[in-house]
Amino acid sequence: MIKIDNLSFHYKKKTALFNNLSLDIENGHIVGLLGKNGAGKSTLLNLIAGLNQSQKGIIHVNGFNPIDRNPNLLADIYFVTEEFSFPHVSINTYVKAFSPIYPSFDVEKLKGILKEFELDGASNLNKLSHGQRKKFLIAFALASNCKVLILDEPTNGLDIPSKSQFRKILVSSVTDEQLVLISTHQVKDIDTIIDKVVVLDNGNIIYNESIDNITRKLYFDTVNSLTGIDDLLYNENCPTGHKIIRSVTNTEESGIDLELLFNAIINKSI
Amino acid sequence: MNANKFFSFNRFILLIRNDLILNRKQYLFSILGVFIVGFIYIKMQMPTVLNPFNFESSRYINPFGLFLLGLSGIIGTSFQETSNKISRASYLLLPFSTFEKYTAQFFVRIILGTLIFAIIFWIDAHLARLTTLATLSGKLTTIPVIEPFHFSDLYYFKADNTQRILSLMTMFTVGTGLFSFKLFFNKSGLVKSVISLVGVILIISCLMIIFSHMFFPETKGFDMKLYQYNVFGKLSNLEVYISSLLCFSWLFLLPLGYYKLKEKQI
Repeated sequence: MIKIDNLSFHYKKKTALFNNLSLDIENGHIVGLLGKNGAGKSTLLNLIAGLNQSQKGIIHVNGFNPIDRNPNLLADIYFVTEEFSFPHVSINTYVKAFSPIYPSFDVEKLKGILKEFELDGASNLNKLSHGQRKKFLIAFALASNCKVLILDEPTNGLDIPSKSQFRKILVSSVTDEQLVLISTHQVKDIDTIIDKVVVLDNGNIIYNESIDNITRKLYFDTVNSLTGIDDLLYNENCPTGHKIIRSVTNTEESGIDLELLFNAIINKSI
Repeated sequence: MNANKFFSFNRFILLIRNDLILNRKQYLFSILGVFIVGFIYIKMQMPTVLNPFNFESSRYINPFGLFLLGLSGIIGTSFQETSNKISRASYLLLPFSTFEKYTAQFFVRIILGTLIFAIIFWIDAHLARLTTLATLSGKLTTIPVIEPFHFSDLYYFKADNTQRILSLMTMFTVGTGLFSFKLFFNKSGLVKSVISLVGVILIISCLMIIFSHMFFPETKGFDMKLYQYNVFGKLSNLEVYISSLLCFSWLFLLPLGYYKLKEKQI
């Protein structure tokens, strides 16, 4: 689990990025961390992973302070960074070198995911395309079975079929004991897999709701005209009319349009 | 303190294994390169048909110096993972304690590196001697003496025990400096370390000049006047001062490097 209390952080000689930010996330969730460019998503992930130290506040991940870099925590947290580099070795050599350092690593699971991603173990990692390398890193992260998986822009660089494979593999791989934190600005890529939405804006968490709660409160629809809709919360023009968010009136339930929800949150309509 | 979070032998072995698997090609090529270059260099120093001189054991010192230079290069590659933001993040996130990461690099680069270089030098020296003797036999009526290499020859070339210990400790200090300089700066560690070192030497020199003018008014311009006296019987205070810097800086460099690694961020 991740527990953040009154976190304040700024880079050297820059204004505060976070000021008294607090956030609690329990295991067993796939959380979408959304925010505009420069909102601080990657920095927050770096702080959670212990790659940066906050000036004030408390961060606990599975009961550890991540900046202590306790090996017991590091063995249970896997961070797929947006940018990454690999040694000049094959996939098989990489797995041979790194899999034993993660106690719960499942080699068979990795083989299965690599097969689905159509990656050959004999391939040299640095001769693969960016998207293929990203797929390998995601496969390795999932096979590590770490309790906390942090994915920063995991779908960047993936082609359309790979994005779909990624969603399918992630949902089938993650257990109730794990917590997956996905940071992205490509909200459509993750709208069917997350069960909690956290929105970061101007250094603060401005929205933190489970998908269940959202669909219980909000109704997403596309309509030809806005006339006659009394409980309209937010709308956007689209080629077929208007995409709208309105309050749920009875037991009706709709699918969630994450992009529309995000825009509504950022525009303070919700 | 929970020892397991600080050091675990199993994790340490896993880290060494990880390093050897990932870098085995570089290590093998380095060993092969040092072996070939070292052999050629030592052989070039030995007598030939045209120049049949006696080769005393003290002549091994120069090639050994070249080997030390090569070893310095290897030690200087320590912590190269920390030189850019992306690889630094991956390295810091490896599930090993900072102490394990630090000691693993020390073990591979300094302990194992020195041992392997010493073995290669020993083999090269003997191989060069044997092949030279074989080449010369039959071509010369009097075969020149080529003394075999012994590590003790390196030890005895210095005048006394104090000098021997001082030179060994100075080498260790240089080694620890090369080992840890990348940790002191995130980018261009070597250049910045050299600039810092030159800066420190300049500051000390300036202070010495200022003190010389203050305490010895007859001092002119940039001259340095130092009051010298004997300590410990045969060493002057200046020798003690310089020796202390050269011999004991590693006591400062090694812990500082460790804490710099511990506090590294991206």
